[in-house]
Order: sequence, then structure tokens, then C-alpha cells
Amino acid sequence: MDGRDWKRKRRAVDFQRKKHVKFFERTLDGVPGSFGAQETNLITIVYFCVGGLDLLEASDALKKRKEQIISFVYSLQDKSPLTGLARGFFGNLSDTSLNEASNVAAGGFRVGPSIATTFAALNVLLTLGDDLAGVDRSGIAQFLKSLQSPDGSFHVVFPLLSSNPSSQPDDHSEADMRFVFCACAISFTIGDWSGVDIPRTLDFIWRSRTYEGGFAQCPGAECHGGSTYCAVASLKLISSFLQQQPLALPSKRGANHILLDLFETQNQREACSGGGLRDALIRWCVFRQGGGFAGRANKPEDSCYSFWVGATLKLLNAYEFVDEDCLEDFCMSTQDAVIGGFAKWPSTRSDPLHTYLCLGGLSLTARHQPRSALEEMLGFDSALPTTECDGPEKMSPSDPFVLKPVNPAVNISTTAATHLLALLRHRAP
Amino acid sequence: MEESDKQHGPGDATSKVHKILGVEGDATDKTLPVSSGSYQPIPKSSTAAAPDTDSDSDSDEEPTNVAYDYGTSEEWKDVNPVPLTAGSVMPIAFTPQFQMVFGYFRALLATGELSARGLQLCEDAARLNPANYAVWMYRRKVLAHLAVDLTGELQYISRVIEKNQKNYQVWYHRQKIVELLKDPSKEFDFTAKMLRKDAKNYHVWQYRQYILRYFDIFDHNELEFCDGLIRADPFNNSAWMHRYYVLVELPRACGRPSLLEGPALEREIQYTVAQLMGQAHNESPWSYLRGILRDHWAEHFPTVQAICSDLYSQNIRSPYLLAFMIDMYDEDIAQGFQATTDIQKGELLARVKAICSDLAVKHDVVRKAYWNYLSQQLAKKYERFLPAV
Repeated sequence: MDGRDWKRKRRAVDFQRKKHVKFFERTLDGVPGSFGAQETNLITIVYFCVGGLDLLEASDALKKRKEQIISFVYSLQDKSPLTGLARGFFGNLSDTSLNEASNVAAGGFRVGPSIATTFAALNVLLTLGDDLAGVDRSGIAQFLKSLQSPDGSFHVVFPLLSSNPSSQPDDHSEADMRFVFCACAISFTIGDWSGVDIPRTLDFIWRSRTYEGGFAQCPGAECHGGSTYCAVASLKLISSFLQQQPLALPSKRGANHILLDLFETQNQREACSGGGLRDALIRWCVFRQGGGFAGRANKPEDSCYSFWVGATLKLLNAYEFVDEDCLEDFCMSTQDAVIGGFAKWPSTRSDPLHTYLCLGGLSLTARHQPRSALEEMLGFDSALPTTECDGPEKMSPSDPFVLKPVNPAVNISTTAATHLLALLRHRAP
Repeated sequence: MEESDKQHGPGDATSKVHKILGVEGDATDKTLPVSSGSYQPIPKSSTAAAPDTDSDSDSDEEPTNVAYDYGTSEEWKDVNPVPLTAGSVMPIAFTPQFQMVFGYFRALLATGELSARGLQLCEDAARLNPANYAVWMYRRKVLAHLAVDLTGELQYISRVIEKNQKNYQVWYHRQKIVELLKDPSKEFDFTAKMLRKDAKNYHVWQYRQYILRYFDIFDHNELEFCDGLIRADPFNNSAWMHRYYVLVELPRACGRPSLLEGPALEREIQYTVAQLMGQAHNESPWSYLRGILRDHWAEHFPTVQAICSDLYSQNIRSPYLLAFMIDMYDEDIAQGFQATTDIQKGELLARVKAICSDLAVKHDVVRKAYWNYLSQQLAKKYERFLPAV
């Protein structure tokens, strides 16, 4: 216990907030040629940087770039007449420019936007306080619809399309739980679920649960922290939509019980006998914790699962089972105190993805989280975890360790989530 | 399709295409509706330029060698590159090589040219950015359009996957090629080889399961395969999960009866127990045992209980063993396998609470809050069996 206290104190002074801010700013301002292999998903790295700066409350760094980034994101929105109304966001400017009429000859191909980059683009806009007025909502809903496969999962990109008017998209891309989550988060954000066949989606998620208790990327595969988060967050978002607009779900066992079992009160859960799904899921999640969280059984801990598994537990109102001290110790061991950022493992190189997710994971452990309106709307329990091991130094507003909490369902800060909720209310009839 | 008149240049293309695709020997007997010019195919193994896409790579070096100089080539002088666009946010300082290869690749996309030289270009583009979906989608269009023998493509994608084991797009490309070949025979050796590099690679397992499912293969000796991997590393959770896939998930997906009935279930229990006897502090077999026992607790309760008691009496206090015992007693209280009277159930509940407490205080302190919660939950659930105070 003494050792722990000592570590905690040491950690508090060691948290390199300024260096993390610089790390994200540097990345936003330009990256070396070795990022070429990440060009396809460039906007997701922008999302990690902008989201990370937001969690660090680096408002100056964001204010300085706000207009520039917003106009950059809008420049990624698909405007091709070829893809019709399917207006997703591209991952980078090269793809947008390729589709410009001047570049495509008759019979040439146009590339399609991706569901993952659309998710990232919308979250960047929300984080920067944009009102999404320039987002083509119905086009995006149609885009989502075009990507859902018969088994309920979603493909990641719109296929290569010939400008030959008679040609039909005939090829696809991989489809799994990651893109189910993207589809649900996007639908929630645009306030339009017409692009998601909810019963089919629920069926896919239901069939992807595993004997271990969590969810896999697809039916039959191994239980995994990332796919478990994607499944549970999708269910949370679907459930919040269904609370407003009840939908006649098929009476097939499982799929329609899954929502009740995970999120309703205990009495309701017992009444619907969802088969102990929630208990098994919580068990699986808490067993991922060594110090930090691992993504699978018998795999090493990795800083990004402090978000994937931590947020899953948060969504299940079960975060109080996390040993926050141990988690923070592990996360801090992956911090790069020289160049800033967090890495996957101790002594490896920090990167924007692990930095953002590690900060998001740490933000779930913050002791004074303002209860966001979105959380309220999503039916979150107001009781936030308080454990006796909280040191009083954590409470101090000057504590360098305090982070803006992340909203676990949409993976944006609670202020961005509150902003989204205001937008949705404003738009509601 | 209009694309047919977009073939490039005259010449003997068949052997060229095969060379590009890495097809050896007599594969050239097939007449291909393709023609091509006199460019030099890049060497098959020119992989030095490949950036290491593994997320834990610390290579910040630019790819150096230029596999093929499109800019000065006679072969490509009819093509006007469409340059990449760096944005105002997070601009990438593209290397000249990256800019060149993708400039030409984008030009072919923009004109819709489906040609043998396009295949060559794809290989350079995929080497520089294997995550670019358009490269693979375009490549499949060319392969289809030129009716290329896909055996060579399978060899090509094998080499690419070996360099990019954890890239989604390359595995997806392989899946599409194998679907077209309608021949899964090489996939078992290939995935086994990839698992020798990383026995827990999610992509490989997911792919192997896809092959079994897509081709409805139920007579391949997958259990033996799993056993080999489990022997090599009993902590390989993926291999345990694959056993379950073969016995339960695959038959279900293919509309066949479960292979985990009667003697097969007995055999699996024995198999798992043998592993646990050697290594009780291994989460994977415990999870597996719980998984296969679901709906079958009643028949196997005495066996399983004896094993747990045995391990417990050897002073083993693995949280996985103790967690399993909690679940086992929970089943017993609920269903009355051995604890038939209220008094017996009350005693069992006291035992469960004691185990929870031991876990919280001694054996699994990191999950203290969870074990305390579970203890309360079970006490509440079985309140009626608690002795009246």
C-alpha cells in the first residue's frame, strides 16, 4: 500500500501534459514520408490528435487551428456525382482530388469514401464545435445503407466505381464489428438511423458473442477487447435510439434480449432472462486487467485497451470494478517523457492512436466528471465510481493529472458530446 | 465493357503477366486477352522498399530504393501522373518514390486503364501502402479483365502477406482470390505457416475459419492442428477458441449438428482437464471448460467438481480455478445437483462467499471490488438459503 502511494505521487508530477500537447500539435502540423502508408486513414490520425488535445484541455492549440481543420474536414466530404447521394468522408485530400471531374476521364474509376474515416471526420467536427450544417445527413445515411451486408455487418469502403453509367459496384471490402460501431455512431451523430437495418445489426452482434463472455469481430472468432467495445457501444447507441422510437423487433431469441440484458435495471433483466450475458461480459472485462488491460486472454497488456475495455465497463455501469491505481501505473509506464505521447507498451515508440486511447482510458478514472447531458440521455447511471483509494490530491483543480472525461459511447469528450446533444435537440421537431 | 479497348500496347503479354505474377513453368499455355509493351517487370522480390507497417515498428526511414522509374520510362510516357494532394492539416512529406508511384497509379484509375502494366504498378503501390483499398480493388478489376491465371496471384499475395501479416486489406484480397479459384487446398499450409510466425495473429485465425466456413470443410483434421499449437503453448487462447469453432461454431454456421455431443464432449472435458492438471493458472482452458459445459452441467457435475477439489487440495489458488468454483457452486445451488436441501445450499453459499473473500483479500486483489460485488450479488440471489440470524 505504501509503495502504491509513493508511485501515485511520483506519477502525478511525471505526467507530461505539455509534452503531450506538443506531440499532438507537431503531428497536426505535418508528418514525414513514413506516414505514406497511413495516408488512407489520415483523418483518423487527425481525430486522435484533435480529440487528444480536447481531453488535455489544450484549448489554445485547438482554437488556433479550428477554422483550418474544419474547412479541411469539409473538403474531405464526397461530392462526386457518381456516388449519388452517398456522401461519406474520405480519409485524405488525395482521394477527394482524384474524384474531381477534371481528373476522371470517361470510363475512369472513382474511389469511394470509408465508414471509418466518416466516423472520424464527424468526431473532429464535433470536437471543434462545428454545427454540422455542411454535413449531408441523408447522403450519409444512404452511404451507410449501401455498406451493410446481408449478415448485418458493415463493409468499410464504398467500392471502386466506374464512371461508365451502366456499371454497378461489384467488389467490396472487409466487413466486421468495427464498422458496425462506426455505422451506429454515425447514425447517432447525424440523428438519422435510416441507413442501419437494426434487427439485422442486432442479429450480427448477437451471433458474434463468444463462450468467453465478450464479442468477436465476427461470428465464431475470438473474443477481443476492440470488438467487444464496438459491440457494446453499438448496442448502447441502438438502445438509446429505440427508447425514443420503439421498433418492432423480431421475436427471435437473443437479438432482442441483448439490449435488455445489458442495460436495463436488474429487475427488468431478471424478468427477461437474457441468459446472463451481462454477468459473463463483465467477468470477461474485469479479467483483462493485469495492471493495464489486455485485449485478449493470455495476451500482454496494451495501453489502448484502457479505453476499449474501460469504456465497455463504463457503458455497463461497472467501472467501479477497475483497479484505477494499477491501471494508471501501467498507462504511465507507456508514457514517453521525452517526445510526449503514449505507446502500446513500455519502452516502445509513442503514436497518436495509443496516446489518444490511453488518455481516454485515463480520463475514465477521473474522480470529478461532470455528468454530461448525453450520458443522461443514453441512460447512464449518475453514480460515478468513487473508491476509497482516491488520494485527495486528485481532487485539486490544479492537479496536472485531471483530464476532460471521454464519452464512452461515441468516443468524443463529454463537452463535444454535450454539444452534439444540443445539436440533436435543436434539430428535433 | 468499354475497358476492353483500354489495353495497353502490342506485344507478347502472356509471359509478361505471368512473370509479374510470379507464375513459373508451363503456366503460359493459357491464352490471355492481353497485350503489353516492352517494360521491364520489377524483380519479384524487390521488397526492400516495403515500409514496415507493423504498428510497433520504429522505422521512420523513408523507403529508399526505386523499384521502377516510371518517370523516365518509355513504357509510361503516355501517362500523365495525377499527383497526390497533401492537405493543410497533417500534410505528409511524401517521398519522391511514393509520389511517383501513386501519381501513375492514380492516372490509371482516372483513365480506367485495365492493363498488365497496371498490375506491375499495383505491386509497387501496394508495397508502399498496402492499406490503400483502391490499389487492391483496382488490382482485382485488372485480374478479372485480363482473365489472369490466379494461381500466380495466390503466390504473389502470399509474399505480400508475409511482409504485412496484420494488414486487413491483404488478407481480404487473398480471400477474394481463393473464392475465385474455388480451391482452398493451399490455405491450410499457408495459414499454418503464418501461425508459426505468430500463433495468436487474429487475422490468420479469422481467415482460416472463413475458409472452413466458406468451403464447408468439416473433414479437415483441425482438432489435431489445435492440439499441436496448444502443446506448443497451452496459453494460446486463439487455439483453444479454434477448438470450439470447429466443434460448435462451424457446424452451426454450415447448418450441421454440433460435434460436441456425448462421447465428444467427454473427450473434450478429459482433454481440457489434462491441460489444467499441468497448468491450473491458465485462463484459456478454464474458459473453454466453462464454454463446453454450458447446458451440460448436470451430466458432468461430479467429474468437474472432483477435479476442482483435487486442484484446490493441492493448494492451488489460481483466480481462474476459484472463479470456476464459484460458477460451479452457483450452478449447484440453482439446480441442486448435489446440494439438494436448503441447509446444503446455505453451506455452499457460505463457501462461495468465503472464496470471494479470499480472492478479494489474498489471491486476486486487483479485482477486489469485483469479488466483493459478486459475493453480495450471490448472497442476494440465494438469500432464502442463508441461515436465519
